Amino acid sequence: MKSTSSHKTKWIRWVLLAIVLIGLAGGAVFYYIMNMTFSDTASKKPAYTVSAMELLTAFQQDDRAANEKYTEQILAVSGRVTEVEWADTSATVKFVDSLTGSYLIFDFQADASAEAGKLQPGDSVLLKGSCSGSMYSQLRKVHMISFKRSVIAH
Amino acid sequence: MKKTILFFSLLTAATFGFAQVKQTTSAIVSFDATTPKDALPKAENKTVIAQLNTKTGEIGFEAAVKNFSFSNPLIQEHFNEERWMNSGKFPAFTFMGKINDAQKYNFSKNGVYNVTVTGQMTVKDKSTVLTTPATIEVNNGSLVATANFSITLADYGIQVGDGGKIAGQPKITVSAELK
Repeated sequence: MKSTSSHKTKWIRWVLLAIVLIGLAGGAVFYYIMNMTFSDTASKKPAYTVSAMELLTAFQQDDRAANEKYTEQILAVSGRVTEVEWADTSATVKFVDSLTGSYLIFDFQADASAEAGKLQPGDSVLLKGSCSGSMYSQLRKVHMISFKRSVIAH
Repeated sequence: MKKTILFFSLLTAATFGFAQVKQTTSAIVSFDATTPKDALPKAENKTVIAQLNTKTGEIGFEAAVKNFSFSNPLIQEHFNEERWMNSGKFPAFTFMGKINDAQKYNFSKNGVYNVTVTGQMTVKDKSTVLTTPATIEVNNGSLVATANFSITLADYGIQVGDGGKIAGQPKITVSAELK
């Protein structure tokens, strides 16, 4: 009788321990997910390296296929800076197709914005960023391909 | 004769020197759907297209949904997925409107103008009428337009659930330096 009771107590202890461990593991996973951040773009290997004009042509020829291929990928894009704009305290850099007016625009990681802001129109540069795909602007009647979390590739 | 040419040149410069359409491709739109239970659902897009016709008061904004940048990758993924913004199908959200009584304001003169803007906000192909106060600060031909307002996500077919982790009426902040 005593042996059965002891066996039952042991069993309850194991179940309680398992519940506590599952709870801790769940909490750790939740904490990890909620505190995840994007890794530094500078340390990421680009999925594709293309020129600005190649990329614009790819989107203009087949927007759907280009969006499937490039969107949410890290791209390294070479081009000649057309314009540097300031949005509040951070810079954006544009490569504009002079024939169509369509353009690529890069928003930078916080630590890369000051360096990007020093670029001048006409500078040749390789930028690396997360491609957000294309959008047709009703206001400007051009295609815009945007990038976020960009850096200057060295 | 030379004086006449100079006079007309100056007159033309004065008339057309202040361009009627001011624009930027680097306006900032911030989205804040945080609640006391969750501080993560907020993002910023710094590549928003903005345009203002200073004569007619017509004003427009266009933002690529996928270029809203969140600090947390998982929240950004949720934001773009089908039950939320469905950015694969609806890549942009837009606002097309007009400054009420635009003729009352002279945006060629330096100053701070408190205006009211009314227009169509379109998210996921669903449009609603939005009226919001805005401020336009003019400084030597450059205009800085700012506005703060809220939208109701349910108006655009976006259900946030009962968990209280996402605000059903997120705050939107718009800031654009138009040249």
